[in-house]
Amino acid sequence: MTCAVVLLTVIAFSPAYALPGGWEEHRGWIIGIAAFGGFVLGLIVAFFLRKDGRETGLCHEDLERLVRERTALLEAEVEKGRISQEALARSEADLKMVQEVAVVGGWSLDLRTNKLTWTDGVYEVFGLPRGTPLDYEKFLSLVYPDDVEYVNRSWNDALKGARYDIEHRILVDGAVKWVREKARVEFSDSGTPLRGLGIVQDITGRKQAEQEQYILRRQLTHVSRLTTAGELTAALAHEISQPLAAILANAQAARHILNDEKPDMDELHAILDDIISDDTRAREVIKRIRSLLRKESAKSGRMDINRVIEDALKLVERESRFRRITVRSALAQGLPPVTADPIQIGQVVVNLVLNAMDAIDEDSEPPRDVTVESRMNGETEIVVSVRDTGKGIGEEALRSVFDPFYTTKEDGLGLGLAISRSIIESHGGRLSAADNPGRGATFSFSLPVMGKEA
Amino acid sequence: MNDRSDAEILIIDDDASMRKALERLLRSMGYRTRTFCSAQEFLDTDFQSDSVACIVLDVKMPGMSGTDLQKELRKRDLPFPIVFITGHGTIPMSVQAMKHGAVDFLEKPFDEHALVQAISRAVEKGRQTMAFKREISDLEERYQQLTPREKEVLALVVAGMLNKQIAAELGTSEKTIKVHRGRVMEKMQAGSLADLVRMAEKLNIPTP
Repeated sequence: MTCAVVLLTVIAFSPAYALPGGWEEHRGWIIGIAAFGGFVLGLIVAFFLRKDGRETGLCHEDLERLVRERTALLEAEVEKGRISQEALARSEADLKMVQEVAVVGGWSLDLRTNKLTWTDGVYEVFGLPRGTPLDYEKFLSLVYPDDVEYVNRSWNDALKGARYDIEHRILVDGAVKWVREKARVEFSDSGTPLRGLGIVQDITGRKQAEQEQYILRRQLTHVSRLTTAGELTAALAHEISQPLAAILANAQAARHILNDEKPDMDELHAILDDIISDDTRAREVIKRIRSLLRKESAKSGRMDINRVIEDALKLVERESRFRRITVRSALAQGLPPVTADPIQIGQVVVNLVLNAMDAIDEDSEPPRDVTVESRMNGETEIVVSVRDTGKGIGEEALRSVFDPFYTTKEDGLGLGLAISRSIIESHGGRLSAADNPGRGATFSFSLPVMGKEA
Repeated sequence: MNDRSDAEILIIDDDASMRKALERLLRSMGYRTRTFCSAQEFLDTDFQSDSVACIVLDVKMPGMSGTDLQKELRKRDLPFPIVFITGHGTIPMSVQAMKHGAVDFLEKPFDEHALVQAISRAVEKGRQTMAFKREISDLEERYQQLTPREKEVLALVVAGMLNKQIAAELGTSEKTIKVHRGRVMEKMQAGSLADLVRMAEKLNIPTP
């Protein structure tokens, strides 16, 4: 019926549907249409009375044409409505499926009698036959042993008025499942806890996905370390072959000296001392490569960002000298610590500085500078930026620099920035890029200050 | 093998311990050595030597690199034979260096025999260059003793013209040309016409 009214309104008020010329007055017209369930059932009736009684036939034709057009329009509208109804039904089915997949259940715990009541959904989550008698202890016995203390403590806190919103593991027929629990405790007027009311959701699927993502990220990080290491190989190989060559030349010189009639013992001593010190030098380089390549899980801890930056800059120092690029650091003093993995963050810094140096062409004009800056941004985060005087990124490339396998370098894998971003984001920070107003570009990342993590 | 002590080996490397070790090794083998810690330092000393000198040159150095120095020396017409040494050489890098006349390209760490071989070849090349340069400057000296007329005659003789043709070209008698020609041969110390042609080639005398 609504549709009919709409149509009436349209005809009555739209000047485009004004009645054909020659009709000075119409007595009235009624259009009625019944639409139901997507079918047009109704009819259209029009009554006209011409003042002078001429050309009635022509007028009818015009009207009929008009009615046919409006009907087609109306049918189209109704068809549209049918489609959206189907969509609604579909999304309702989806929702139901989501509920089934997510397996949500409710529970209540009477704190005076210790009687625990579960809905069917909870029985299903915990894999127990419906109607199994329950109390708080029975529930705890189903919790994964390592999580029992955490769950118990959280519940006791809730009884003192704290929020109860936890994720923990449970054991279902020997298999580990993850659940999320959220509950509210009702208190008497005098403040005695009376009843707990909560919901349980099976989040095993989500946890698995998170775990997979974590493993993937760790693998990617390893790859990226190898890539970074590959980029550093040139510098490191030079550093390691240098002492090796010196050791060899010294040893060979010593052999010649020993063939002399009166070998110069002082010289031989000096040679041995130099051999030992060059050997130490080589071992230092190897140690640095090892720490770069070690595949270990993120070890987050209290970390001084400036120290990490300084260590990272030591790694690229030689490379920068060869490229005749000045790497400056402008590190704010007295920065609060952050919670992060120094190896991963160091790797991001190395990566950004190497990128910055790559952006400065061999023959580009001075200044040939890369500046690494650390500073507070507000009270909750530290920002580290790497600014270069290179060729800049350009508006188009800015959109894809962080995409995996996007690269502008001949020998680049295009993973460095993608992984850097994933590392920074896993630490609760952000990594962004922008062209400088003058020359070059700046890459910045933020890290939340320890204790201020979101 | 020639006496090693008449050649001077110039070691240019930014790494102090490498420099020292190379110096020791080459000295223990009987070479005379001098060391420089950068390409710039070497250029600044404006090195001059009467004896044969060759350079043992590190490729990767801060500031002016080994290959940059090689280019610079060519520009200054200082054809020192160069043995490159490198910690991490790339093929394009070595190809470029060899194209520009390097004697050898050694990867660190290198064996003393490889080094000695490379240096011997470099010294030999240096000797040849030096001998050639000496010959050219000798010839140059002789050439400068010629009168302008004799120089004209020389150019036409080595172009393969007969005395009669030369006389016609210069508007004089064949007899006069004969006299000039005899003086040219004498002053240039040329034993034969073929000898004179070779000398003219070395001196790069333009033929008409």
